Amino acid sequence: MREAEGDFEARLGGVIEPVRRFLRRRCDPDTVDDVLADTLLVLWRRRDELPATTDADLLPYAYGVARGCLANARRSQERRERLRGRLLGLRASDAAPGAVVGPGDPGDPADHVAAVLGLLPPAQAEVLRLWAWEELGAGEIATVLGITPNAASLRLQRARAGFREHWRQIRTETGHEPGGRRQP
Amino acid sequence: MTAEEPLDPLDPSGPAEAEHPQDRDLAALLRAHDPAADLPPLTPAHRARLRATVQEVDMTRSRRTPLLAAAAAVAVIAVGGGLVLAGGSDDTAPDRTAAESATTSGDDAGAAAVAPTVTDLTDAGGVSAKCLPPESNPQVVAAQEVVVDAVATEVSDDTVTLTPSRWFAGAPTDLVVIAAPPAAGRMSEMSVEFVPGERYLVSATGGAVTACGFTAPWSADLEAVYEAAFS
Repeated sequence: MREAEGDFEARLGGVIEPVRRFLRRRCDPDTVDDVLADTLLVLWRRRDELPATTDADLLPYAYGVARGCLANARRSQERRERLRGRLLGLRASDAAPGAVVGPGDPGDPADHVAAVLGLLPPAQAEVLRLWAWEELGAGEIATVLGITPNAASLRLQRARAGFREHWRQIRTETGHEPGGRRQP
Repeated sequence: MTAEEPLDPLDPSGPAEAEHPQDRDLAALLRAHDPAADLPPLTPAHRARLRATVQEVDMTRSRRTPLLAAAAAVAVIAVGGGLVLAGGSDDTAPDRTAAESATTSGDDAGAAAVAPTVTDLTDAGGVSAKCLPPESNPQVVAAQEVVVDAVATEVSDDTVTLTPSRWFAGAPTDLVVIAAPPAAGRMSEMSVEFVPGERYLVSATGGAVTACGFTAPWSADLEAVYEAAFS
């Protein structure tokens, strides 16, 4: 058993905390532990076919697995909500939960960041998170998302531009536009 | 979270010759509001429990998977259509996914091991001449209950087994098994020619593989369609 423990730590020990932070950035605390366990289970079961030998190389792959597990958890939650909605006589659209990070109350900068991310197309918001929070380059983002590096790079450019545009708007609307500049 | 006045990611006052100064500012802005910035590391005890749970579920499932696969195969042959539910679970208990099974322990771990790790699908075979391709049919794309990126690992006369790498839709399982339609009973009658080692995008509703290009050898274009619909 001790050998298995050592093997687990040697193979996956370096990705546990990064994947946990990845999940915390995208879902509520109660969901993090469940999805983290699921992600590690998938990685552990694929341990002999993992694509990399170093933690840095493994992380994008691990994030991709975590992303899939999180999507599954959300679908399960949505199914439960739809079922609950039907039982309560609601339309499915009334019962479906919204995005985890959506437009918030634009009161402080943290809310503004969350709000702007929520205004972006989900795919663009995700590449921004991967770039800024997971600190991945386009090639690594491509691995996470299962797209080409060129597509990741292009999406990242659009995401940055989109963020800046929405950021400028929301800061102007809330009277925080620095330097008195006007919305373009 | 910090409450200081954020950087202006649009500020043009930085040196133009610097390497993407606006990008650095934007990254700094986002990092200043990282939701995980204050997340404390797992305690050693929590980490040990996590490892034990993962390894326990893995070992329990490994022991039961052959029996489960056999039961699923029998069920596919007997019923011959729709999503076949080994042990009467899966879609009737859709929340019993690999993700949730992985977190169970004790007696629940035994129950989790019974949960199927195979998604069984059937292929009705043949392709209608009148059908819109996925990129022109977003409503049908959105209606897909299973969409998975998978590699064909075994192809026999009447089934193809695929190993998933990514689930766009549907509860993840370890394997996807597609059975030929009972009437035809041979993979040559299926709507897609599966080749061992090749990568595919497989979609299905009601347990039946969707043809018309929705299930096809992997391509960036088709993946982009599913990416847009499910990501």
